[in-house]
Amino acid sequence: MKYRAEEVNGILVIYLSGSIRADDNRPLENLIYDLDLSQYRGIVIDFAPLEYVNSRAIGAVMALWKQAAAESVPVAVTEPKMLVSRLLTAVGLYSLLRIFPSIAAARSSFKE
Amino acid sequence: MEQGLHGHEIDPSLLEREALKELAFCRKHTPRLYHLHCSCTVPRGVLRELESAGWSQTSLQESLALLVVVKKNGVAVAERLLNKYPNLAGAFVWRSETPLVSHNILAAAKGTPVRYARYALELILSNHCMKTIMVREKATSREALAHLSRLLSTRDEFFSIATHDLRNPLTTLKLSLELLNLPGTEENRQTLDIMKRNLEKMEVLINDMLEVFRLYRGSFSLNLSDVQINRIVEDNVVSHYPIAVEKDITLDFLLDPRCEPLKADPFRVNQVVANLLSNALKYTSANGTVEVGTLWEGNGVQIHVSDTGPGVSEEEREHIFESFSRGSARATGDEASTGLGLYICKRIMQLHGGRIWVESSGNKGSTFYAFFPNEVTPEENGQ
Repeated sequence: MKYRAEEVNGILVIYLSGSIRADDNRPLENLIYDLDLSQYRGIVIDFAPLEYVNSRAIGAVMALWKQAAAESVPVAVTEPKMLVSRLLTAVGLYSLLRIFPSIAAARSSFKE
Repeated sequence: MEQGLHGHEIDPSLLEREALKELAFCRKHTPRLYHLHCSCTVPRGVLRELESAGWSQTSLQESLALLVVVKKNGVAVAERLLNKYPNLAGAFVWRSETPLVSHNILAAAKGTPVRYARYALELILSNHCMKTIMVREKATSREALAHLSRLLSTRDEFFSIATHDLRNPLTTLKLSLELLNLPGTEENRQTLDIMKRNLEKMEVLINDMLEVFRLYRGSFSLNLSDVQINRIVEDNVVSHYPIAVEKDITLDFLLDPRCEPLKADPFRVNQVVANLLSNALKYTSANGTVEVGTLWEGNGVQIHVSDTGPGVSEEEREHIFESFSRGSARATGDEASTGLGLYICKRIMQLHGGRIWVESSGNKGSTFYAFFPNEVTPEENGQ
């Protein structure tokens, strides 16, 4: 599966992999928009394995980031590959992200 | 009433109608066919002689019409017609300028319906009529060419001045806008946004006009180098990403990893890809999809840009690559459209020895294809 979400110790980890294309948009949006962020103390998005993500999916990730910021839920990400970095930079999101080398490092950045 | 060659009276208006009918017939058929139709007495040898002297077919046709009028109704009627329609033959000169006819024959031809005299008269008329027409046609052509040349120079000069002189203040305006220090109210922000968008529209129009002007003048050439098309497509997808996100359009791309570098002008290739991609995003609504892809075909690379916009009708497809052609589709986000983008793309593809085309089925969107061959042949580069 190209995306899945898992909660560990109050931190939500969203795993992304492969290339997220048009056919993957609806399920990913449903996953993200159905989240109740108030029950998490932090969110980690694992960009590292992602080869490509289309504009609509990025839009969903941006919406997640904005919602988390509004509810004061910190968001951390793992270092994306070159193309995904370029896409995140193009939409102005890359410079706003807290980037870590691994999921473990990202999780440990959240206070207990 | 006029006196015909046969002595009977003829109604001039009838003669004129007859003459015009003959002229109309001449214009429609070749001299040879006309010869057969009315049994013109001018021998075929004479016709051939006139044709080999380089006289135009139109001149021959009109002269033959005149000859028939003369043959049937007399010289006086022909003279009157020539006065009324000077374009037919101009001067009606009663002097022999060829060694074939003497003054005696001419005098004999004037009043006596003798077959030989009539033939001589016809020959004189055909010679003089056609010579005059030929001279007039040459003069008219020279004048027309000179006039056209003047018009083209004027057009080029106007184009150059207009576009360059428009660009300078536009650049200044843009810079000034960036430096403008207004209070950060929502109203000011919106006003600045409107100003920036309209400046961008103007910039697009002026740049496109400049490109077309360079194309018309033939000063549009290619700077060839090894180009990796996949890289250019990827760069364009990244740069157009924010537009897709803003318009809630799914922008996908799929690159063929087999694509090899080919000889092309990277700036112009980028121009084609950017144009096709921005068009697709321009005419696709929210929740729609735009897909860009490459395909290695062994002898070159094919790029395709598909959208789920309104599509291109069959009638529009015939003209969509012409300059200033706009289809019926409207930009979904009030973006600028000059009607020049696809024309510029087509010329770029022609210069590369490639081609560009569109496939569309009704309202289900369209796919634009651009094929870049491996090599640009020298005579196609910059021609």
